[in-house]
Amino acid sequence: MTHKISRRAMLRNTAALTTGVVAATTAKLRAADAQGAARATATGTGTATAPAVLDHVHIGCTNVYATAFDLMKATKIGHYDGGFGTNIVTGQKTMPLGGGVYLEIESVVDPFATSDARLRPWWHARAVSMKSPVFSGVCLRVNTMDELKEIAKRHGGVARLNMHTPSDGPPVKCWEAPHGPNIRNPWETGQPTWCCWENRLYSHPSGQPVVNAPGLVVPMGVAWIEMGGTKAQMQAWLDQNPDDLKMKFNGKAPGVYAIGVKTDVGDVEIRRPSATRTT
Amino acid sequence: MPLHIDHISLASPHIFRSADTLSKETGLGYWTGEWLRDSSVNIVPLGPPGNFIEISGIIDIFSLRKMDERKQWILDITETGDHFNGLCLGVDSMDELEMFARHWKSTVNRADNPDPAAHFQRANGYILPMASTPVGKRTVWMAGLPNVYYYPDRTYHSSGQPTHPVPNQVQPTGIKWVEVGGTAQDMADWLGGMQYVEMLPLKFNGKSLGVWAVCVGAVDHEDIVIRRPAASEAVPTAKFADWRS
Repeated sequence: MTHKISRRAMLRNTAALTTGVVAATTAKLRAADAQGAARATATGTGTATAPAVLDHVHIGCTNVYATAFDLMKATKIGHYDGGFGTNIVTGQKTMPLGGGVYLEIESVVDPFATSDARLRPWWHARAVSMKSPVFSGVCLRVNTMDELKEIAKRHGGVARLNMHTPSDGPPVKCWEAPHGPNIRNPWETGQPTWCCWENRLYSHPSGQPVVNAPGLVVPMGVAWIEMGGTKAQMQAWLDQNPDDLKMKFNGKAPGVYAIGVKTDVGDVEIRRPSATRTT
Repeated sequence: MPLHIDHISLASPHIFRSADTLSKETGLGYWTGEWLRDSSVNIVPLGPPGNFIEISGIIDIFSLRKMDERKQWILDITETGDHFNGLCLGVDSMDELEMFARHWKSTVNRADNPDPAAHFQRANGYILPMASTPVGKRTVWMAGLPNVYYYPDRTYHSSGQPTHPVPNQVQPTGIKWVEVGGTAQDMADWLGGMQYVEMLPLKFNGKSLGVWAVCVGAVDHEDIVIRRPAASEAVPTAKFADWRS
């Protein structure tokens, strides 16, 4: 089929750009899976307690196309169509950062969402008022649902299923925590959340080929992430040393302020306003 | 090729979801297409000789704070779901395009406009040069009528780009027919003669003007008929009877 041949050609073209990323990502994810499985076997409980790792950082905006393209142009880090969320009327672009981490860029793409404010994600209003894409949150990844439920319980909430449909069709199930009627969305207060991929971890967004564009660099992982607040506050929230996650702190209101990404031609800094609401 | 069908526009309230739905409904793949300011398209290639459906919609709801007639039309025709909102014909030379421009007493949107903000661009920044006619304050799509395109370079034509690898994907072999409203005479009056209508694989259903269905052939698969209401069902073309103004 003509278009399938072209697809292979595209993959060949992008292979040079993404091979290193995919290989690193796959190796890291396999290692994480293996560690989790080994611990579960050793304890016999199925509850692994590995430290969480960085999964993705979120940028909310008003125009996902313009934001992704402008960021690609500025950083030379590639991106691709991330699909759409089913719970909220958004579209996404994904920017793999290497090392099993990706940047999720998202905006509302359904005009009729404007008639029902409940369907608008909280960060949309912040992006509008700041007239800029905003860093809206950080999500960490754990290996098992038991770990995720334990974290949710510790914070007085539960895990919530977050369905997502990538461009190649089958929906992805990713559970996120903590959520619940009695707790505020952690991202709105600048705190990280946790996730566990129920299926398709093997096709994690960090490991997929990007759109071939001139002059792209090879991202090789997050070098650092600048957060508000203090290390002690973050450690209390995470129950984990923030150094594991390469977090550094600027003492401002909690939230994400910048990330540094290692690439084959040096580090790239991505800095945007934090969407955090402190009131 | 003489005058031919180039592409068909399908207006959508949510282009990501509509592309996914159409893909699951038909097995046809799509790729993430182009965007320009507040609008974007996902492209469904339909096979040779180079046809496609563009699933188009507004993707920046903040832009709706400043409304104009075009945006309002898109909102009005997508409020109740996807609607076919444009039939786009193609010619193979600038001379042919200018002939249609003269027939319509109009001009040509030039392919070499140097302003990037005047063109749809792809995710990697590529801009596909294309010229079209007629030019007007309103698109003739609002009146349920086709316009005509000419591509100086078809090697990167939207119908030939790789799609996302959707499950159970079928291989399209091109448009077999397009069902449109009105009559053959209506179309002949618009294009400047029945000889042009006879070049096109059109079926006329006598309903309001615009596209109502597209039939696509496929390898080892029965013909695929994509049926959606025409935009004129949601917003009567009479509203734009003065489209030349």
